[in-house]
Amino acid sequence: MNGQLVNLLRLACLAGALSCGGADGSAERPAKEGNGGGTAIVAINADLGFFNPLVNTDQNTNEVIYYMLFTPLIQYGASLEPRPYLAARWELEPQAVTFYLSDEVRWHDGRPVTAYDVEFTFARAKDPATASVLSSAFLKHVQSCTVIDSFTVRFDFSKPHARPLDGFWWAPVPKHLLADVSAADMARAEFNHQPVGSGPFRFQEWRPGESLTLRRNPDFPEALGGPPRLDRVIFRFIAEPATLLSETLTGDIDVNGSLFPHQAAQVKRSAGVRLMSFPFREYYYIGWNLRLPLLADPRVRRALTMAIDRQQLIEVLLFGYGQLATGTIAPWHPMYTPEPALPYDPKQAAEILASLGWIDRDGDGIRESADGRPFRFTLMTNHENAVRVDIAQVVQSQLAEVGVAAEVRTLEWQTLLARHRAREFEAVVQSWVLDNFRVDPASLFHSSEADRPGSYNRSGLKDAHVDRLIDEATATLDDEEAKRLWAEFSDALQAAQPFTFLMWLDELTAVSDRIQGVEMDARGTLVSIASWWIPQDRQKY
Amino acid sequence: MTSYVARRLLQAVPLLFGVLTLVFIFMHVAPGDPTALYMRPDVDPAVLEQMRRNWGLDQPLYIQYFRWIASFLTGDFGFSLTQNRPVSDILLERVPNTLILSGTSLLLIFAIGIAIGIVQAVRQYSTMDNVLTVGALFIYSMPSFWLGLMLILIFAYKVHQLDWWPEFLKFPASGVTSTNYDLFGAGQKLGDRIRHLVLPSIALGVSSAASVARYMRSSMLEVIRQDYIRTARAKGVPERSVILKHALKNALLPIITLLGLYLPFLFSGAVLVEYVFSWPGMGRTIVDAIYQRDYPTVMATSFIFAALVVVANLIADILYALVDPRIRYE
Repeated sequence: MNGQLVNLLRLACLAGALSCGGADGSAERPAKEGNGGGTAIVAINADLGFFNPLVNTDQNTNEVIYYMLFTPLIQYGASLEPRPYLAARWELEPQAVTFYLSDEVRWHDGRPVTAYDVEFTFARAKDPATASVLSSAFLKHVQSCTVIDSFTVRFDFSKPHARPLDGFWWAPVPKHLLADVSAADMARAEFNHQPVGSGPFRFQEWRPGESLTLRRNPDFPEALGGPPRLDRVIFRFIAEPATLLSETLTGDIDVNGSLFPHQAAQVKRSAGVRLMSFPFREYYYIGWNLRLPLLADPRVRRALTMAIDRQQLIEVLLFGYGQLATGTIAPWHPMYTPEPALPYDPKQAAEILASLGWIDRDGDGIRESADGRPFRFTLMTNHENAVRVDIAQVVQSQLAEVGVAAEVRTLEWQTLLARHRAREFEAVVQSWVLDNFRVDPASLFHSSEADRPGSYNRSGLKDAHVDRLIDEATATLDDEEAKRLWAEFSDALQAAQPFTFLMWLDELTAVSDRIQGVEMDARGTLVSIASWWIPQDRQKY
Repeated sequence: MTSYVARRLLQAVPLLFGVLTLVFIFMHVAPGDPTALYMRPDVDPAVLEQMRRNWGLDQPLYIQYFRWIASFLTGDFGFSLTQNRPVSDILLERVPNTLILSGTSLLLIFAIGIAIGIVQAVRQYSTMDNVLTVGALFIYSMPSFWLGLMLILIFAYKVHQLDWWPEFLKFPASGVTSTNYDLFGAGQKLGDRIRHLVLPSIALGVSSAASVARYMRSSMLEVIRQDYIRTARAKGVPERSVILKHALKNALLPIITLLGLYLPFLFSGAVLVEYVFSWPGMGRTIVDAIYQRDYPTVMATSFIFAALVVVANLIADILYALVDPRIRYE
C-alpha cells in the first residue's frame, strides 16, 4: 500500500550458449534432516489472495504463486541462473526455444500439467483483453507458441534477444478449468480465489483480510524437489507493524515477513527469534524532471547528487540495512558491474554550481542565476511512507548547505502518483521494486518512452548514448558482451543522472528458532519454503 | 409509532441518495486511479488502459454514475477493482465483524460509563469523585489507536514474560480467532472469540465510556436535587433504591440520546482500531479502498456506514419514546 511501484530487471544465464538443460531441479535442496510435519505461521502486512499467475501483480502473492502453489517453466538458482523446473530441459535457438516438460507434474485435481496448459496460458497472456502483466513483463519478444506434443512446446521469438530464458519465469494455469473464462473476465474468475495449482503446496482456505492456509502436496514429484517438509503453512495478515512485532516476539508468529529497520535491533536482542536480512529488489531514488530549465543540465543534477550524503541516509534512516545505489541493476544481479557512486562532496558540488553561474548574489543563502532566478524547487513525496518523508527532509537540509532551496511537499499516495505520471513535478522521492530478473531499463530511460502518455520515463531522459546502449544490450546474444554493455550503460546513466539513486533496501525478516532450513535471498522470502522444517518436539497444532 | 418509523425510513432515502452521490463525485474527482496498484515499468501503459476499459472507467462520468445507480437499485454492488470479487461478498465478511466489535464496545461504554457516573454523582466532591473525574479526563484524551498499541504492549506482550501473571489475562494482539481455532470445541471457540474481543473493544470504547460517565454524573446530580427524590427519601425509601430505582430511570433519559451519537463515532473509531488489531472489519476495508481508488467498494461501504448511522439514530429515538412516556411520535 505504500506506493511501492515496481520495476523489473533481468537475469543472467551463466550456462551460456544455446542450450542449457539438466535433470534435477532439486540439486540445491539441503539433505533432509529429521522428520517432516508441523505448521509454520508466516505473517505479512497486507492481504494475499489473487492466485492467478496471469493477472496477479502483487509481489507477496507472486512468491506464493512461484514457490508454493504453481510450477513456473523455469526457476532461478541462488546465483540467479535459470534452472529446470516444470520444463525438465530445453533447447535454445537464436529465434526460438523448445521446452521439454516434466510429465510427472499434476494439477491438484489430478490432471497432468501439459503443453496445452502452457499454450493456453500464453494465448491468454498475449490477448490484450486479459490485460495480463505477463505480456509486457515477460513476453515482449515472444511471438508465438506451438504445441509439439503433450509435453513439448516451442516458442518463437519476434527477434533474437539477450537472455531469452528470463522471459519464461511464469507458471501455466490449468486450461481445463479456465478455458470457459473469457479473456476480459480472467481477473474476476472465481478460480483466482480458490486456485487449483500444481506446486508443492495445495490451496486449502483463504479468509480475506485474515489468513491463507496451504497444505503439503504429498504427490509433488521428486524431480522438482519432492513434497515439502511442512504439513501446513498459514499466512496471517497484520497491517500494524507494532502488533506484528509483538506477535513475533511472543512466538505466536514464526516468520515476520514485514519487519522494519527500526525493529531489527529488538529482534536481535530477543531470545527465540533470529533476524534474517538480505539485499532485495527495492531502490529509492530522487527523480528529477529534466524538462525544467533549472534541472535540464546533467552537471547540475550531478552536483545535486554530490551534495546529498546517501551513506548517511542509509545509516540513520535504514539503520544500516541498505547499500548505495548507482543504477537500476541490483548489486546481486549477474549483469551487475561495480560502479562507484558519485562521491558525497558538498564543496565540489558548490564549485560546480558556481561555475555554472549559480551564485548567491543577494546573500540570502540561496543561489541565483545571472538573471536573478533563485535555485528553488519542490521535492514531493507521499506522506504515508515515513522513511520517504524523512529522506526528503534530510535532503532538503543537505541541499540548503550548498545554497539550493528544496521545498518539501508531502501528498497522498495516489495524488503523488497521478502528478508524477502526468509529469507535473519538479523532483520526487520514490522507489521502484523489481519483480523479476530481466534487465530492461528501456521503459524508464529510453527516449522513445519520454513523451508517451502514462509511460515510465517520467523524468524525460532523452540521451542517444543511453538509448543505443539499451538497444544493444537487450539485443546481444552474448552474455559477456551484454554485461560489458550494461556496465557502459551504468556509466552513461551516472553521467546523465536523471535520478539521484539513493539506496537499495535490505529485506528484513524475523524467523522463530522453531523453523529450520530457512534460506532467503533476492529471489524472495519464501524461496526455500519447501525445505523449511520444524523439529518434532517443537511442532504445534 | 409504526407510521413514524415508516416516515423516518422514507426520509432516509433522499439522505442516503445524497450521501452516495457526494461520495461518488468526491471519489472520482480526487486524483488517482485504481490501476496505480499495477503500475510498474514492466507493465506497459497499454495494459493499464485495457484494465480501465475492462472496468468501464473509460466511460464518461455521468454514464458511470447512472450505471452504478442502476445496478445498485437491483441490489448489485458490483466488483471490487482491487480484490476482484463481488463487493457483496466482501461486505458479508466484514460487516458482521465491525458490528460485533462496535456492539461490544457500545455495551462496555454504557455499562462502565453509567456505573461510574452514578458512583460519582452519589459521592459528589468526595476523593473518589475527584479521582474518577481526573481518570475519566485522562482516558478521554487518549487517542484510541495509541491506547490500542499500549494495550498490546502491556497485555499481549509484556505480561507474556511474567511467569506469575495468570494465563487468562494474557491476551492475543490481533485477529478474530486463534490460528488453531478450528481444532477447538464449541465452548472453547466462544472463549477464544471473547479473548480476541477484549483488547480492541476496550481500545475502541473506553474513551467514550469516560464521556458517558461525565454525562451520567451531571444528569444524575440534576435528578437527585429534585423534589420527588427528596420525597422518596423522606418517606424512608432505602438510599440504594432511591438512586437505582427512582433517580436512575430519569437520569438515563438524556443518556439514551447519546446512543445515536456514539454509533457513528464508534464506526469511525473502528477504522483505526481495526487497523491496529488486524480486525477484518469494514474500517480497514474502506480505508484501503479509498487509497486504492476501488470505487465500487468505497461506494458500497459508504452506503452501509450511512445506513447504519440512520438506523442507529432511529433506534435511539424509538428507545427514547419507550422510556419517556411524555414523548409521543405521531
